Parts: sequence; structure tokens; C-alpha cells
Amino acid sequence: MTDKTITIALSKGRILKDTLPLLAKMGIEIVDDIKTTRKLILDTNHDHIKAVVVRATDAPTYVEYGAADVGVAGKDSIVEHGGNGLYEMLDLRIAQCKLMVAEHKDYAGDKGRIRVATKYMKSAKAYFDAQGQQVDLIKLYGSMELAPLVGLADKIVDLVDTGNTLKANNLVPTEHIYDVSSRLIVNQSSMKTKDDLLKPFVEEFKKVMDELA
Amino acid sequence: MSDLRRRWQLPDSVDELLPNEARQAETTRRTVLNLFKTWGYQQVMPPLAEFLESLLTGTGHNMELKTFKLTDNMSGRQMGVRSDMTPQIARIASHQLRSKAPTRLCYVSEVLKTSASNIFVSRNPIQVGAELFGHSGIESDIEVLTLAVDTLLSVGFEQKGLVLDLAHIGVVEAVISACDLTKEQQDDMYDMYTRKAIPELDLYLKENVSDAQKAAWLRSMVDLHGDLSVLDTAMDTLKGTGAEAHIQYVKDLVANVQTQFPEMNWHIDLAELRGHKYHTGMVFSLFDSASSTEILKGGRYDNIGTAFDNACPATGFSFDMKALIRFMPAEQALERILVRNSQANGAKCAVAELRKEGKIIVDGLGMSDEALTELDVTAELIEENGNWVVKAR
Repeated sequence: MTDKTITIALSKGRILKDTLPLLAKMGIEIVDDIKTTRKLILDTNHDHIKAVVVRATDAPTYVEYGAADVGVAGKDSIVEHGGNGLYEMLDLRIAQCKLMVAEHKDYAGDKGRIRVATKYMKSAKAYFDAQGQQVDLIKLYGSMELAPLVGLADKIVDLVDTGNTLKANNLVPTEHIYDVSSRLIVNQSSMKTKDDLLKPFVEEFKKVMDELA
Repeated sequence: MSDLRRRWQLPDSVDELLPNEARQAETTRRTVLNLFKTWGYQQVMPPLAEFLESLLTGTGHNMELKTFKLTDNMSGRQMGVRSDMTPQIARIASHQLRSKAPTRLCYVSEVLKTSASNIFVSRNPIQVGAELFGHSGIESDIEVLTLAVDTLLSVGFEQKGLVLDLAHIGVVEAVISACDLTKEQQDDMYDMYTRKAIPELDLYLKENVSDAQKAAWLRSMVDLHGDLSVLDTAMDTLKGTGAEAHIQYVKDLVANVQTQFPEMNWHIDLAELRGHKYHTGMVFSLFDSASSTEILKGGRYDNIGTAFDNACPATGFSFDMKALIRFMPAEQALERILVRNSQANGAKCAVAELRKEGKIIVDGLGMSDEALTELDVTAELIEENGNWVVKAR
């Protein structure tokens, strides 16, 4: 039972930058230089803990299939992934923003079926379904703000942080779908077969978060 | 691309077993069925498709979505291709056999699902299982747990490489009913427990449950997982909910099964709810600890017979043979003996003799050495001084 290791999937970008100080408070530091290394599986100062750095949207997938035992992923990525096979055990209160509906400030109002551009297909579908609003979703991978300006869509569903990009493009946020922050996710099978390592890890992480609160 | 060029293609997540895997699956099937037989479990072979309402009896909405449907031209009724054999076995036990004595049944067959539950399994798994009907006490649960572990040991797993994850649906149910939640709130609880969504649960309890004791009970469920000490913690934490008897039941199960498999690892997860709409008592899974993968699952489901007018308690387990063989140690290669051309070179009698002994003789049909290099053989039947002898290749 001593040869067990745990692998942590970290989401690239802003989430990674905010997660590393939390891990450091738990006494876990990545030994390799994240900025320069070409290694994909990174060592930490603990022999039994490894880290992989992946795209934010991929983190839940890595954890679901047990390629990583735990991970840090945005609530938006978890909802889009579906959350199958995952436990969402801790709110890390980092990379906070909101998923919102936005429209052009001069938008004339809904007439029947509307077109919505978004990267967040599942969240948008679930939200408009609950509202009883029939929508056609247009999947875009970036620059959602452009869609209402060029007549591609009536509305967009996107993450809103400061709201500056919306404002610069004459868009206004209208409906709040859910709050986003990063969560500690755990593979369900790993939790059952490696609980001797994972349970203390999650408890330790919770302690750090409680101290910060 | 033209359709012609895609004729080799199988549908997504539909797979087949090639010779080595098929051999391993067949060996495993025989081993497991023999084991079931020695425990008094009788094999049954229900049909591939039957009326939809029988197939979906006592199961949730999920099973309906997973079932392929077709219309029966003879009766005009809707039929389903089985996606899980348990309801079929329950139908046989509660309607066809109707025995007052415990009924023990087992089965092995392919099933078909509209979607695969994850990327590691196919939509056409081979379901193997054993079910025990007509007994509601702890004895039958112990028997099923023991047989489940024995099944994996019989095909080469080791006790210390297994984790038995155990829970009791009654515990969550007792806690939830002690807290007077509405139907909608209960569903929310089940959803959050399934995901152990602790941040959401904290917020939810703050907004919806004012009674401190009830909130504490509801909150404690997501922490009640880990080694066997969880059961003692649960006894304390959940005192007054009515869950105590169920926790004691799990303790008794563990105490009994542990003596038989002292090296096996245990895990308790009292908020484990997969199949909670279907299961009524203990639920369990066996994990391969090296790969952290679930390989077998089961539990008690006492209500299923009601729909067939004969409510009878039931407990059992099943697993997917195709998933199982991926985690089994590879079988030893068989000795396969080449005979170049038995019809031309007069080896016919020798070949017949060897086959009678059970040896595997592969006829090369006179093809060239080059073609025969791809033949998976380990030895060759050669004529030496008028005698046919087997030489290693």
C-alpha cells in the first residue's frame, strides 16, 4: 500500500497561478519550473504526489477517467463536462466570476425563438430550458461578444469578470446563471481505493481554505 | 468517403473480442459458472428481447434511456433489447419459479445499451451475475458478498489487491426521513450526496434547513466515508436518526465477511447512492486497487418482485466480463502444433491421435513457409524415421 501515488490535475492559466500558493500553504511545491519545463508530468517535493498541467476544460476529463486522482477546475468546466464520476469537495474561491446572459444595449427584446452564441452549451441549454425559452445555440470558441454585433446571435452566454469587454462592445449583462469559482474535484474510484492518501489531502486543503476565510 | 470504404467500421463503443481476449473470456466464464454451480446457483438463459414494460420493471428512468426499443409486429407492443439482465432474472424468480425456498440463479450473456457509461466500457458488455431470491436476512447478504469476492479470487485476483466498498441505502434514507424534507429537497440531497458537492451542500443547508441538529445530520453524510472506523463515527453522529440499526447491520456484515478474507481492504461510504432508486439495503462494489477501477457491484433490491405480483426479497451482484478481463493476469499461451499438410503427407492418423489427447493441431494446408510465419504456433509435427514427433519451433 506504500507505493500509491496521487496525481493532481491543474488547470492552465489564471487558475494555475492562483492554485500554486494554496498548494504551497499545504507544503506542496512543484519542483520543476512550470514556465520552462517541457515535462508533462511534474514532480513535487513529495515523492507520492505528482502534478499534470492541462487545459482548464480538460481537467474534469482527466479526473473522471482516473488519469489524475484530484484536480482543480472551474465550476463552468465541471458543469460543461457533466460531472460524471467526480466528487466536488471544496470551493477554492479562486478565479471567481459569473456566467451571465448578455445582449446589445439596444436589443429590442425576445420575439419567439432566439439565437444564443456561447462556449457553454450545457449551461446555456439548462438555463434557457428552465426559463421556458426556446433557443438555438451557436457554439463559438472565443470572442462571443462579436456575435450580437454582427447579427450572428441575439444574445450571448459568457463568463463575466469585470464586465469591461461587454461595456466596450455596447453589451449589457442581463441575467445571472451561476457563480463560478474553482473547485477541488476528486475521482470517485480513487477516493475509495486511495482514501488513506486522499482523505488527509482533502482535509488538509480544507484547513488551508478555512484559515483563509 | 463512400459507404463502401466504411464497411469495416463498428458503431461507437460497440466492440468485439478477438481470439486471445475471447479465449480468456470463455475460460473465465467456465470458471465462474463452475463456482456458481458449487454454491447452488442455477444458470438461466432469458431472451435477448422481451416486452419493454417487463424489462423496465422496478428500474429508473435511466434504464429506459439505456434500452434499445423495437416494435413487435406480432402483438403491436413495444419490445426492448435487454440492457441489464437483473429484471429478467427477477421476473423468472418471482413469476416462473415462485419457490418458497431461496432461489439461486446465475447468468452470462451479452446486453446492449444505447450509451456506454464511460469510455472504458462498451455498449455491448457481457453481463455475468448471481442473484439470490426469497431471503431477507443478513445470511443471504453475507452469502452474496462472500460469493462475489470468491468469484474474483477464482479468476486470479488476490485479496490484498481488492477493495470492498460497502454502504447501506437505509442509512441515508433514515437520515433524510428524520429531517422532514420535501420530495424536492430529498432529490436535491441525493444529487448533492452523489457528487459529494460539499460547497453546494453547505450553502443549501444554510438556506433551507434551520434546525441545527438536522443540518448537522444532513451535512455529516458527505464525511462518512473512509476505513471501517467510519462506522463507529456514524453510530455517534447519527444517533437519533433511526439509522443505527442499518449501521449495525453493516458492522455485522463486515465482521462476518472479514474473517473469511482477512487480507482484503475495506472502504465504507455511507453516502454512496448509485442505484438508490432500485436498491433497498446493503450496496457494495469491488475495486481493483492497482487500477482504482470498479470491477463488480451488487446489493439488495427487495421491491422488484412487486410488479410481478410476487414481492420477494432479492440480493445479488453482477459484472462486465469484458471489463474484468482487462484487469486479469494474461493467460499462458497455449501450445499450438503445426502440421504442414496432413492430407498430403500421411500424418492424418498421428494428427487424429494427438487431437484425441486434446492437443491443438493447426494444419498449414501446404502453404509456403512465408505465409506460415504468421501462424501462431509453438511446435511442429515432423516425420522422423517413419514416426511423427512434435518438435519445438
